[in-house]
Amino acid sequence: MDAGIPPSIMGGRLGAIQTVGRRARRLGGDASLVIGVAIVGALILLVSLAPVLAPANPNTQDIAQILAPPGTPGHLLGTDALGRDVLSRVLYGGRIDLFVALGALILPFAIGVLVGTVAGYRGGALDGVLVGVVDVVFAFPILVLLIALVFVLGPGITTIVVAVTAVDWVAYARLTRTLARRERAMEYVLAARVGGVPHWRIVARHVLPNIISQPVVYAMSDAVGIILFITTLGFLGLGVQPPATDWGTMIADAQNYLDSNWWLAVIPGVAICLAGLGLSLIADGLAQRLDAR
Amino acid sequence: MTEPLLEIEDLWVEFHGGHDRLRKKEPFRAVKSVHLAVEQGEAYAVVGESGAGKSTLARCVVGLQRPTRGQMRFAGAPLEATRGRRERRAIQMVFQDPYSSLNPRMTVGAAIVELLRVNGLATTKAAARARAAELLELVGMPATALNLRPRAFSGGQRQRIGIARALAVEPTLLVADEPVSALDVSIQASILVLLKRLQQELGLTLLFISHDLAVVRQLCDRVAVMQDGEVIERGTVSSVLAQPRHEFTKSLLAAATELPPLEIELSPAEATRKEMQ
Amino acid sequence: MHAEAAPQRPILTVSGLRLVADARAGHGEIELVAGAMLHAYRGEILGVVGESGSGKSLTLRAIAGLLPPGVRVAGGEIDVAGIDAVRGSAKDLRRLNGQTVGMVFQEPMSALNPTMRIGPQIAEAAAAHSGSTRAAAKSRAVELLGRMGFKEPGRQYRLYPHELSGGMRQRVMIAIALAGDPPLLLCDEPTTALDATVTMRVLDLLGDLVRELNIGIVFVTHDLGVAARICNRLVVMYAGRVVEEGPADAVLRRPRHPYTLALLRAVPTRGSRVEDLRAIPGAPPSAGEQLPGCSFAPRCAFSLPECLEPVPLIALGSGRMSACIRHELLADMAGRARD
Repeated sequence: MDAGIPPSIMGGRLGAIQTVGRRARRLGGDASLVIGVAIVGALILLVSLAPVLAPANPNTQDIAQILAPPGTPGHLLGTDALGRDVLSRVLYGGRIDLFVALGALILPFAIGVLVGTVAGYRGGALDGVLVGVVDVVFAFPILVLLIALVFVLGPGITTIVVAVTAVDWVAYARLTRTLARRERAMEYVLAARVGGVPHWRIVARHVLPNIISQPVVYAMSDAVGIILFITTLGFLGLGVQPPATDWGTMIADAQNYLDSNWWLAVIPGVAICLAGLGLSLIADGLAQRLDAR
Repeated sequence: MTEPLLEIEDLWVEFHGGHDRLRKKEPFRAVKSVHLAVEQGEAYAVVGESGAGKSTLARCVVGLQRPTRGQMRFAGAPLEATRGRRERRAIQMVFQDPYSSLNPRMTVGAAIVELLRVNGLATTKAAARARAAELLELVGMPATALNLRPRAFSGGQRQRIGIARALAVEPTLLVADEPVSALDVSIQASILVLLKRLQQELGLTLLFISHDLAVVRQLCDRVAVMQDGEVIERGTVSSVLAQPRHEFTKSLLAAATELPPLEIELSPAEATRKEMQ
Repeated sequence: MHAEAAPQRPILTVSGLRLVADARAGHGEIELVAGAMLHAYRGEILGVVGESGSGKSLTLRAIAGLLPPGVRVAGGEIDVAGIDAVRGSAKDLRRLNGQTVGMVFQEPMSALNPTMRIGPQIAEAAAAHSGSTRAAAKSRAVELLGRMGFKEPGRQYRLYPHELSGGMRQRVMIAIALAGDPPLLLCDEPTTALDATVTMRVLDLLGDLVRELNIGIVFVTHDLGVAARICNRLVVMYAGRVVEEGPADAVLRRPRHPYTLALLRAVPTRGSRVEDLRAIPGAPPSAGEQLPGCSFAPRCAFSLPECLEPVPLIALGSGRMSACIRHELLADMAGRARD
């Protein structure tokens, strides 16, 4: 009988060195993570409460009060060329941009991770087909492809989601395929196979939990790209259509006023940057935690 | 005369590496025309250096690798690459690397319970956990290990857990692929002693893959020596190691490092103080 | 087979070496090596044996100045051929690498640059330390390859590491380590990743080099058999401390520390059977679990209450040392065996 179990989390001296390095990285990662979550959390909270927080209807035009600067009573962030309250438009626009972005993230993530995991684990013909498809999609200039899709399907939220899903799932598939391939050679997976555990269960309990963290980190960075894509479409007039607002259309509307009323473009721009920054920090923090583990 | 528990006849395993630009690459022959017979209840060693094909052979035996050619028979019946539940349960494996042979995200208990449930060996979760605790005890681990994750354990403890997992489905043949190579010397002894004891208590047949002749000499009855995918010599451990016939076996023996004999005599009292089996 | 030991000033002196892992949130400093002591001489191979966690690799790395980030020297001396490796100037430490000390690692594939041919890698090391011309460095590299047993050094100069077997790669690493003509070679488990037959050849090579070049080698290994084969003297480490030192043969036949004895009894040998193997009960203390006295006491078959006091290394005469207050008992047991 062993004399008890020493829970040697630091099994020996070399383990001690690794722990020290781990902790250092975790602290740095923790800072990024905390700040990132705070930023994104605040943004989501604010836009969720848009109906409560917005002083006015984002589409109400007040000709008497056009191009009012920030600080005008009743209009904290001013008004635009049609007299619409900027703060309200930022909040409601944020709802579109953030929620559509996060929604458009989930489908490619789910599809890509599932297909990639199964293909990587099974190998064979399925895997061969997947690799071919991935190569083809990656060979295309993505933005051009996406915009072409939007042209074909017409502008609007559904189109955005379909376009993003059609193109974005490939990145997750490729990533998880590589991870799943590596994972299937792990001895505990082999042990499960020898023990008679059915393949679906091996994928669900042994493979997926051990590879999911990297796709999640990637998803956070991906979210930034998706937000930029949506706002770019909005800017080009190919995204959400009026009367719906989004940060991109706000910037497009503000193009002619950059000299005189610069805040009309800068405020939505800052919102986009904040969202991107917050998500990037989360991605960075998660990646450091992963690395440290 | 009873038939051998495991028979391997003319087994070949070839890996195709794909195509070069100019010509098709030669397939890599990891296992070439291997013949082997393991009797019930014995400890049979397969030794060789790295790349000799012994791990590939072991994987064929447990069903992880499909042979290119050849036959295997288990208890007289043909052993295919795809197995039925009974055959699969009968042959289990203990892996080499204690740090990757256990799922880091699963508790020890969950891993063993999964095998029990999947093989219909326990109907309720409670029964499964009880059985898992018994298995851990069998290998010298306390039941409290059930709720812990692998990272709480040392290499030697993880190997014990790996052995408990392999025994969960009640196999008759246990294939051990270099089970102590990754462990510290002082821990190796405890695992070897454990394997020997289990073999005797449970009547297991052991197929022991190793590069370490000293270990094989300790534990096994018969041995097959592999080089470059072929079995070049086989026989009882005592005869092969004392009178090797093949050049390679001779060089393996010559390369085995020897410690000078220990000139320490322990009195019985000293010897039994705080000893462990 | 052992190289002849030459009585002279040591080429390497390590005394009282303390290595600590830096303090971080959650824990203070962790002592990884506590008071290590060794001497190595030209013409001799000193073996440092121990299991994982013993601190043997870290001690070697401290000598070479290659401690991992987060680990530092917190005390003690390291003197390599007159250079103070702990407090030396930057210029001195540069001289240390390659010119005074060569290092051979365990995994030749990760220590060699896979995109560079082996010849230039050796030549690069040669040039770095003698400031010689390219032609001179190249001819030195070819000469070294020949000495390492390469049959066609001129042609094999142009091979890539992946075209070589493990044993040959290890020889290339030894060549690189010797390129600067250092008097001291540090080897960290150089044969652990190699097959037995290849190990023999590499060990034979090292033995030949010690004799031909009159260098000193410090050979870290966990494999007692390998240590038995080539080492003249042995240092045994446990939980960050040196517990025994002495001529290899004497230490292996008549150990004077219970850990050494326990280790030897756990290793399969020609005559023993599985039932004879004695595993050591318990486990080594994890880093940070500092015990006031002897670290091995909780697992020791001979411990006494006095073992909870700090134990220095005791000189036993004829070059032997032991960190056990019961060394006489072990000497008696050896004496008994002879009668």
